[in-house]
Amino acid sequence: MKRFTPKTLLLAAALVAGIGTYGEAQILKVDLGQMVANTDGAVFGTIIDQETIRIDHPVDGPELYYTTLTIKGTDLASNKPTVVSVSFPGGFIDAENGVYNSEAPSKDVIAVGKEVVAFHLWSDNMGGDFASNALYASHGGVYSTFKSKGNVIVQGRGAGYAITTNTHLTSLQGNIQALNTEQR
Amino acid sequence: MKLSLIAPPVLALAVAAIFTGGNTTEGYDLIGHNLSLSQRDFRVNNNLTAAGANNNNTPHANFPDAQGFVMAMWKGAIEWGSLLHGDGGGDTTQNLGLGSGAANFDASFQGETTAIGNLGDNICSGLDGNSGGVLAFAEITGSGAWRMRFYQGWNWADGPGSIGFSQMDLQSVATHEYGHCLGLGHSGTGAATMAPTAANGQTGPRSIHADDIAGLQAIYGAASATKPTISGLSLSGSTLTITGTNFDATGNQVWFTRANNQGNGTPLKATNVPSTGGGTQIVVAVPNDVRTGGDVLVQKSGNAHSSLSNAYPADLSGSICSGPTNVCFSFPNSTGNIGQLSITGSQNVAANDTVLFGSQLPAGQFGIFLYGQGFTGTTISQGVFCLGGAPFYRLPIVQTDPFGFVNYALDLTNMPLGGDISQGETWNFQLWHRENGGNSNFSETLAYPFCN
Repeated sequence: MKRFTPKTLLLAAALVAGIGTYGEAQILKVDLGQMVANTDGAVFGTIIDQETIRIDHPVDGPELYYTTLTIKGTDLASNKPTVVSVSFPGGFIDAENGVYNSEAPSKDVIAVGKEVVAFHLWSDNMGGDFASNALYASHGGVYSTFKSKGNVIVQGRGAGYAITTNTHLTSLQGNIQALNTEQR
Repeated sequence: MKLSLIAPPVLALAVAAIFTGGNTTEGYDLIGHNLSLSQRDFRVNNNLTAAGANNNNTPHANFPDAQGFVMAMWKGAIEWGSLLHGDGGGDTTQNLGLGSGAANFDASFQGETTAIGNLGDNICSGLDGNSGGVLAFAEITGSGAWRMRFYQGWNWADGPGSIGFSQMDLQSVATHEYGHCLGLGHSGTGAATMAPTAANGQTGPRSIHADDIAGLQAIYGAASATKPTISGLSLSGSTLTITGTNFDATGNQVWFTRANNQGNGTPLKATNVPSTGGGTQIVVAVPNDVRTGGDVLVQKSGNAHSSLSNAYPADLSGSICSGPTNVCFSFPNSTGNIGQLSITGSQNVAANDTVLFGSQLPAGQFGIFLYGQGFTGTTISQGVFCLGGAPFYRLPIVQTDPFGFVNYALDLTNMPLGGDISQGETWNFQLWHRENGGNSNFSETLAYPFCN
């Protein structure tokens, strides 16, 4: 196993402090019922593409960055195959152009090839006249998954998030479908 | 709860946390940066037009010349301050007052701007639209500079007291976002201001929690015993007396809030200011371009976090020296125009550089400049005498030139008996001049404050 030397660690810290920008946001507290009610849908699938753009807007300001993920998988309400693009503020075009904010979930969660559950809502203007399918509540709207004993587990995020504890995907899907039926 | 999952890039942040003593498993979380003294400024672009964002029109002495969104942002930032902001008042929901950080950290309110600003210009502003579920965000650069945006698409409330159950509290969100700006990540403590989520109707996050304070002190250190403190301000004319402790004997900087702060947000500073009384008192002239309502801070020598004092609210409207203003018009003279008056000089009696200029006057006519402190108008001959209601004084006879101009330089050391002019007083000036056919007329009347 490769070990990190103190020099490596210092370099990594310096990269964060010196090159990158980091952002945080505060998001609306929602439980799963509210999340389902507030969004157009939820998808479970694999992130097959990721693209970040920059907008310089005459009113909303310069350096507005938005990242769009393309997720190929299954719509959790209809259980039908789907390909969905979801966007959030923030992200990097390259190492020097971009910005972090809490709109940008952890790079590990949204890397191409990762399997996630994502909630989305269409927005005519996410800022800078950028219209897209918003990743609802940004970091609060995307959840990592992993496999355990042949089952897909969705990682919970604790109090205040729509999915608080680790949950079987089948169970989550059942809950979403039930909530959809109730709210229809 | 693995809050670090939302903190990119995970590894580097974890490393940064190691070097800053961060706690990434529960309670407060540290992003890894801090705000140097050069990044303590914050400005507000009051472009948030969302419903409820600018309803608070209740003035408060601790936030002079501010209301609505601007006041909410100001409150949100100074809650992290080392000491109570003034007497701590301004938020009836906080029993302990605003200014609770007790750390070597204080922010400098730098007024308003019309700019959104680039990343790193330390400006709070609104952002059109919504991205579903996101209230606001701060974008932070590696140097610790930042930009803060609030989405327009919410039912905001700007206080000052409790809010409706369906409203989102601007001050709470501002306090949270500024916590990110100064270096805190999301906290695992649910009651902390830095908890990642917020609910409608909630005002608790306006007041930072013990966990937030612990995080703040982990970055900046608990307030040092040698940190300068301001405990009171006293304004006389344009002279400000600052009372406190731990000021350097010489070389202090006094930070003021800059008016119409469209530049880079740098505080307006008086430099090389001495103190007296063993570092307990500073007397300083209020600089030009100061905002009438703002904060005053003192930086002693050095750039350590502990070199900067607490922010103390200052209503400096009494120190603002306006220029001459027209207080009374006469009637047109034989040129067809109303005689005009202008006054130049430093508005300082000791400088003795005040000059009166008349224009748009009949050519080659004699006249007398009059001055007094009354401004009641009375029609006399063909014009209006405007200095009624109080004693007035006459200056030596002058004559207009062929172009209808006239000027007279005041000698403030040798004014007419009873008409001495002192610093801090405002006097009204008018020209009385002859017209053809034995008539006379008057110029307009200017009020001129000697206040610099």
